[in-house]
Amino acid sequence: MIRLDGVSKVYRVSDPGGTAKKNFHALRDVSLEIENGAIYGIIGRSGAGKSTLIRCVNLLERPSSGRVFVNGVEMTALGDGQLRAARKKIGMIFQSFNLLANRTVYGNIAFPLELDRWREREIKDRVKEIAQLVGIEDKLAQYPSQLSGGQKQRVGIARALANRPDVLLSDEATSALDPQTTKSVLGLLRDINDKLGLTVVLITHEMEVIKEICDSVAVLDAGEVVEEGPVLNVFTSPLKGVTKELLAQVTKTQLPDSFADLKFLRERDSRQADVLLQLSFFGSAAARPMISDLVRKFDVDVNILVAHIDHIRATPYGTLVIQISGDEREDALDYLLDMNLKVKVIGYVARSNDTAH
Amino acid sequence: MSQDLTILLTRGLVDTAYMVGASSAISFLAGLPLGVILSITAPGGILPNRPVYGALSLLVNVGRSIPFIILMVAIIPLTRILVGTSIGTEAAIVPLSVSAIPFVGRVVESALREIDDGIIEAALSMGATPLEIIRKVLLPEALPAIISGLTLTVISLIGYSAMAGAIGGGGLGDIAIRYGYQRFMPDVMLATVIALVLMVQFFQFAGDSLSAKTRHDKKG
Ligand SMILES: Nc1ncnc2c1ncn2[C@@H]1O[C@H](COP(=O)(O)OP(=O)(O)OP(=O)(O)O)[C@@H](O)[C@H]1O
Ligand SMILES: [Mg+2]
Repeated sequence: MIRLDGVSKVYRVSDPGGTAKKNFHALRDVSLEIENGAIYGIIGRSGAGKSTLIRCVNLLERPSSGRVFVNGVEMTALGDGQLRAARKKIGMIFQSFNLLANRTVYGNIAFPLELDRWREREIKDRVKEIAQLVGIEDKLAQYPSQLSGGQKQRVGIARALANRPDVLLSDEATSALDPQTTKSVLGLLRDINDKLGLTVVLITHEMEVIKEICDSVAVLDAGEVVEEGPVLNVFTSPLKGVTKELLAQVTKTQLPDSFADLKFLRERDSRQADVLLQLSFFGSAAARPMISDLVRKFDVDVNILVAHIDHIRATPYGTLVIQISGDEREDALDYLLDMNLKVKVIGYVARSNDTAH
Repeated sequence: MSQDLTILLTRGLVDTAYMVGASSAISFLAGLPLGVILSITAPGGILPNRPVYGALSLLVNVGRSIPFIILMVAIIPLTRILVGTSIGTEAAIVPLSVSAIPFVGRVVESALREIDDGIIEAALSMGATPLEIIRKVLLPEALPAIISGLTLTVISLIGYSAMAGAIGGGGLGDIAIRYGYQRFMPDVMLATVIALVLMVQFFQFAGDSLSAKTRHDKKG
């Protein structure tokens, strides 16, 4: 288990313009607990303090105050030698891969094992084994400059895993990769998490990444954890503006441009108007045939303007924007509100024949 | 060209090779650790140390700002202590080395400084000690740049050795002045110039190919 206990990081920075120095809180009283075997995501905007936070786990950055525990060991209390020993069991991968340019793929993967004084024979076996796991066994003799970004990150992952760590830290490991490669690298991380049972802590500014592989997520804003919990919970009921903003990356609910000329009415003029609703559903509700239910149960017409369905790991979630017209539209609205759906009335639009087909 | 001249030129070539070889070796041996210490104690290095860096840096700057011809004369007392005389090939090795050490130091420092912080960070995250970072990360990663820098050093030492020769150090420079210039023997002058050019060409070529051979950070 990884536990951060009131971790703060303060930098002395010079005041813009002046010569005076002032304190800048990159992290403010961050407390987190990360279960063994979890894939834990930390998300936030640029400058939120994500890198600072993850670097506090292996003490590449020493917290100004607070304590860090990894598997029961208080990292912040270790001396230099003990800290180095502890770091050998915490793998780390980076956005810019940080491979040794003058070592082959083999040499790169062997590097942490050399540092840990493994015997040559054992290094050889281990490098082969781990290269196979990440799918680069045919590249061992090449140099990093001869590899694609995705392959380089696989080498980075192999290097991080070589010494059988308990924890893998990932600092924007997929941010330099295209979407396709990102998916395959994330898939690899999930595989590894399944197979080896090691804890993965990853930071990202992309909700997509969290959605794809994380079990739990912490949202970091201006150095503070503003929201934290299982990914599904945070996704279904985001409490904070930052979270919603980040979520907008994956739940595309804006009306497409073709609806830009919809005329919205004031609510009190809405009696004869159509209602425009945004429905968000998570889990089993997504599987229910609710549109046909609606039409069968009430005297209404339903027009689907936007539909978007996706998965967070195995759980379906989606967003619909529908336009309901007809005399019983208020009853239909009540019915929807009773279901396990998030319903938001976007507005009322004039009933017309030419809207949205 | 007469037999005598051939012997003379061969002798000069050997002397020059001796001066350049010995002073190169000494300046590499002293300059490499100097450069490593400069780079790791610099602000942002792996063992930042302001007093050490400041003192060494000042020393290096002073050493590099003294023109070679003045340095050669100024350190005659030191030369006497070290080799017993201030004249001759061996005596020339002292000022040549002294002038090249700070140069090599800076060359190595800047080669090491080129290494991406991320790579050092990765090594730290794997539990590397500062010594392991120097031996297994900094020096191997900077090797091509260090080789280029050392090539440059050897080539400037060839030039300086000719200067040292002119004031009694022996070697090709000495021959060029005494025979080519003072005794008006243009063929000797030409021969020494060609020999020096060939030497420079040879080291440049050897250095470049060695540097390219050790460089793996570019495609190809
Ligand atoms: N050494 C430092 N000195 C002063 N300020 C720093 C230092 N390192 C980071 N900061 C500041 O701390 C804040 C958090 O930086 P950090 O790198 O953790 O952000 P991040 O969330 O990883 O951003 P990004 O997504 O852009 O990588 C930033 O405002 C940054 O300017
Ligand atoms: Mg960052």
